[in-house]
Amino acid sequence: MRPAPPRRSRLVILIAAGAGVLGLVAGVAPRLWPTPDAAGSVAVVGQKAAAKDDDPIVVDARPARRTGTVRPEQPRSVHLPTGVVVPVRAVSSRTDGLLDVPDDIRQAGWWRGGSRVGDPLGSTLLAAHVDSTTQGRGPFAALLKVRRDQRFLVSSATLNQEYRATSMHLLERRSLLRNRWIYSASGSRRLVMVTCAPPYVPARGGYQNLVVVTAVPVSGPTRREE
Amino acid sequence: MKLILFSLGAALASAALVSPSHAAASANGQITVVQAVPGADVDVTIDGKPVKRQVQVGSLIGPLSLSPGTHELVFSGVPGGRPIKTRVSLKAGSSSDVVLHRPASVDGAPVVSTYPTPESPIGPGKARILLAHTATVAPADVKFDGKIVFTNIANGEFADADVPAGSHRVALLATGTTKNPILGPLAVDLAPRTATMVYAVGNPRDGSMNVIAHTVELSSDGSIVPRSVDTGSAGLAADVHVTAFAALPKAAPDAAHSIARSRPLANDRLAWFVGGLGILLLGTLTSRAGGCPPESQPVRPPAVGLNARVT
Repeated sequence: MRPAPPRRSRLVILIAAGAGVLGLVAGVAPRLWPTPDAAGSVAVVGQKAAAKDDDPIVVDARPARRTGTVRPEQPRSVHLPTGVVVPVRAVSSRTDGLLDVPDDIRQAGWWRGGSRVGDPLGSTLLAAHVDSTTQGRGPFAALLKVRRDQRFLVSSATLNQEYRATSMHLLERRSLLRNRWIYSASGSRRLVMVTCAPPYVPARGGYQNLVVVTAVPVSGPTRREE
Repeated sequence: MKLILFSLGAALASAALVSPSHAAASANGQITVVQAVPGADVDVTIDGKPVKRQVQVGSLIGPLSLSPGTHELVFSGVPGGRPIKTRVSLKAGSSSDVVLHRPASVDGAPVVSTYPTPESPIGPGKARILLAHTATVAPADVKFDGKIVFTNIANGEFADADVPAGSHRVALLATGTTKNPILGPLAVDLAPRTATMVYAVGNPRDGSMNVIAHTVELSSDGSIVPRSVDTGSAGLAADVHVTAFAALPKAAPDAAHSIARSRPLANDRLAWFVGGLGILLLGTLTSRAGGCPPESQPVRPPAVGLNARVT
């Protein structure tokens, strides 16, 4: 029986083989797979130069990889404690400052100046009509009956994040300007959902109040399972 | 230690100069060269032409406007003797930082990483921060106002986020730890509608940890701050009894975010008052008309109606 080569020499052979493969890959790879233009702006060209003392070392200018946190995404839907999933679309405000909530009471508007799913801080403001004369009551009417700790699931293109209701306030409808926490980018991450609330006084523009439900993340955003 | 912190503050302050970002309008591409190798005076050559000599750590060159295509950069005078040569290719209208920095290993030759300027438009009251790891340190987490917001950033990587504009405290910690930051906490002032690129450089073991920062202006995403919300018209929820609960979102640091003016109780009282007034009014009207007895009228505020317009 032939003795197996000593451990050390096997290691040397392995290293040599590994280096050979690496060298091959390094030589061939740039031609086969040009470095991905990850940033969309800077691509990379570079090979190893023959080593002389004053020769420059040729290095790849590597596009830095983004990491550390998820890439934020705009909310697409909110799953209410009633079981209803309300589609969400991005809205702005009109020049007079009135939030451009979707006319369709089955949809909610997300103020697109606010925080997205995956942003580290700030408010995600969602608003929808409580009712309309043509469509009756909307799903956001459920906000009027929300109880502490009820769960809301916000979904974006690839992320989910669950929130837990921590407060409900009745605010005078025109008080939004004074209550910047409703939409502000400052403060802890939160979901703020708004719809109209009684009393209802047509002579004074209809509903007099807003119900504002604040919910805080139960955990960080997670990847949606397809 | 105080000295180091002071120099960090000074570095941030001097780097807070805002350079306008012209990239979008230009047919050229833009690069800003960042010298992030401590202890070296580097000569920088682009396409064979000397651009700047004796560039010290923390210095920025640019933004330089270069034609689209490939450009050759040579850095000479780096530790180890041999110059570093690299090629970057630019697209028209692009903007990025080209950073000469140390690798993660203590003895490695300097490397070059490129960081695209995060130029996308931003919402009101927000600023963008990009934190790049270009130091001789193991992967790091980033604490922002006392909370870990980025995790496990390795040498040559970066993280970015949109955050509220204003003063913040930023610290770099070895990944998984919560105490003894590698760097900071630093006070960082972020102006609204700007992006600040922060490069962590140096080596904590020889006390050379520092930051290089520079700021560009961003365009607005066009969103207007909401002043009012009008979300109902039919009065179908007029009779719902709403029970408010719980506390304020406590983390809002700005006094202006206080909810002090919210008055759930006052609003309930208002509802009863309006209702009561309505009943009184109804009574008066019906008795004047001499018609049907008041109890045949629905006991609701007179305000209730179903003919309101949809808004």
